[in-house]
Amino acid sequence: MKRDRKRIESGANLFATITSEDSSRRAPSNNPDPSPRLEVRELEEAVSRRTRNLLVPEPILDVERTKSQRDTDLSRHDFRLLCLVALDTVIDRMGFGSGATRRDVQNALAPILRASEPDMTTDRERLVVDLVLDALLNERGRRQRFMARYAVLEGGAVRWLDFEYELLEERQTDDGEGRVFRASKEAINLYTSMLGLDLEDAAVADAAVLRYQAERGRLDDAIQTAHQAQIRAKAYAEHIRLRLEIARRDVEQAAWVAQVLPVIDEALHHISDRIEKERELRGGLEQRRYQASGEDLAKLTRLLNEIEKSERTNLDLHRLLLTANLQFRDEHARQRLRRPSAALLPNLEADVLLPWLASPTVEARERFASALNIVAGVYTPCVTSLDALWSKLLAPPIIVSPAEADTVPPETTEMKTPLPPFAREDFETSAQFFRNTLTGRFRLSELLITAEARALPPAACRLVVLLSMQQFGAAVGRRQFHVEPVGEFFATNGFAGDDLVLSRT
Amino acid sequence: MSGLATIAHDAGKLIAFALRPRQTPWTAREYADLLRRYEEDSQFRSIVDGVREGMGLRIVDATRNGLFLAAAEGSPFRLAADDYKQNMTAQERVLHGVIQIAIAAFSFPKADVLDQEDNVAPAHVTPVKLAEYIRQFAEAEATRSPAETNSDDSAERRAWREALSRALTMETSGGKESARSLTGMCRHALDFLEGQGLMRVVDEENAVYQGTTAYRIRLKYHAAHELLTLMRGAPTSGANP
Repeated sequence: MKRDRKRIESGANLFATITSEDSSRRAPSNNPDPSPRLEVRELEEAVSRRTRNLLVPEPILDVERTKSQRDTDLSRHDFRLLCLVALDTVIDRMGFGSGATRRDVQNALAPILRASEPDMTTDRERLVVDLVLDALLNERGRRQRFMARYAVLEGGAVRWLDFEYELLEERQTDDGEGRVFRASKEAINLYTSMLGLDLEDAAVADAAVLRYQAERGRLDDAIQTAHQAQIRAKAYAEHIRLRLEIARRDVEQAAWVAQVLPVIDEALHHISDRIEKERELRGGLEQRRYQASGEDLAKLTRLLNEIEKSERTNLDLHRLLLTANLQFRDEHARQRLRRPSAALLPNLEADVLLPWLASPTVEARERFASALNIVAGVYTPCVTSLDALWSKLLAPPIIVSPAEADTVPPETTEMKTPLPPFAREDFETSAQFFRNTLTGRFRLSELLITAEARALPPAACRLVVLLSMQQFGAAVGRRQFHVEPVGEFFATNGFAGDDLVLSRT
Repeated sequence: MSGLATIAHDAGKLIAFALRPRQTPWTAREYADLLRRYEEDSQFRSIVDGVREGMGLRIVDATRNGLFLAAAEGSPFRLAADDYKQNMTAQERVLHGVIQIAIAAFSFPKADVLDQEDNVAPAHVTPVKLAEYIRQFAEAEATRSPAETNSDDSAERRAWREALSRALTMETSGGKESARSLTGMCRHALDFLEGQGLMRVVDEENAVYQGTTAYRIRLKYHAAHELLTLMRGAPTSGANP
């Protein structure tokens, strides 16, 4: 029964052997066989590893747990979901020297935020995105690595250790202007649910599963596996890149030869194998794509896209590995500045700031100039000459001419002074005119000619026109005479437009 | 110009680029080319090194990120207190010294944070956060057990704390930030570093700053050790180029 448990656990998690069928019954001291001691050690290591795995999601769980303590209501948002989507966005855009910008993350989160809170303002959206990024960067802890204490078993005794890890980091881009986010190995592992697994083993397993699924036409599953595989390829590349960078900075030739060259060899072997297998798989899938149609064609295209992403990452890493040794030698050959190793760097808070605050005022004052020059760079004098000064003083005055836009101004008509409001007499005159004139069917143009002949005041004429227009289409209860269009244009007595027929019926 | 004069001219150009705080090889192609030449051409490198040594400048770092220099004692490129802020009182000098150290410690509190890759961006810092950070440390220092403090300098320590508390009490006078308040001084310090290309403004409205790659490089390869040496009372490398 215990043997079955061991197999299931091992198979489900791809972990190393962690338990023995009867280790609890045998005291190590009574057994000359060394294997139980080995198994106990393996158990201790596995438990320790899994404890660390439980710690990694803590910053994400914490931001969700503490959201109710913030000044604003965030109950409609699940920060676990938002943090994982942010990680997905960052990982997807990671490559050598690149990553996701704040805008990328915001674009990925915006639809989710708006789905939860449709009336969300842009400021509030930015606030939530900041909370997500701050949690992943450990902004509250000033971007130091997250640290958690945990207990491990060591030979039956309990020992407390510190576990340090990070999830996200922000980097300056090569152009010096931009900033991008990159996920750590722990974050990638957390996202792909492969915490505690060996990256190389996971890559080999991915390749086998992907081939199996692709060969059996399980394209939906294959797309998911390929997506996971390309993220893991990035995790592996990041892991190797970081190891090389650390080694490169610690420019000890002996350490490089003894520790780094074997890593390069092993990684080159692994990555060459991966490239070869991916190329084979891609070749087969491309042939299938030529014959595919409809839904299968779309799925195969998506699958090939995922495989190509993974290939790109692996090729970049391959190139880096091939040139790593050469770059290191060049650096030595040029006798570059020896940079201090991490072990020699002081803790600025504990070793400098605290003693500084504790020091007597006189000493602190005397140290100001030295500290300023150490920390704040150099003074750059503004170099000028007497000639330059004279030419500046004698230069003609600068005539500021406002810039003119190169546009064609639109045609406009100046507004005339608005006409005065109608007087009571005007209403009476126009009503009298309608009563006397509108004895049958008359066109508006004809009425205006009559009005002119009867010397109707201009205000009354305007009222005749306006009342005619008001009655056109007026509600039955307010209609005083009937108005209908003629379908002809008129221009009479200073008025122009579509002519109307007016009648009392 | 002769061959040597041309090389000297280019050497001067490289040093001029290095002295302009906002110039980077990423934005100036000529700077990047001269840096590459400095790495690859030994004759050019010796002329650059000769000129900058003559000017009292020492190299902090020379990589694709730029040529970073520090001014030795007596160099015309050394910052004077008035370059930083004019007419500072003795008390202000003390506080501004602390603020500069606090900015460095806030951005890179521990050795492992400082040791991250050069282009990793440090934490965001605001004048308010920084003033609060200093206040917390100063309070922690003030509450140290009397046994730990040296009775000889207790008067000095009192003066220190009084200067800090005076600056802190100015924070809310009239509801407006005073230039002599701790927050106001922190803002000046961050603005100065921004002018030196060592900080960038992330959010102008909320006064959010962040150390640049140049700031990390300066602290990592030069300032951190020098400050430690300064604290221990030993002569710093600023004494000689």
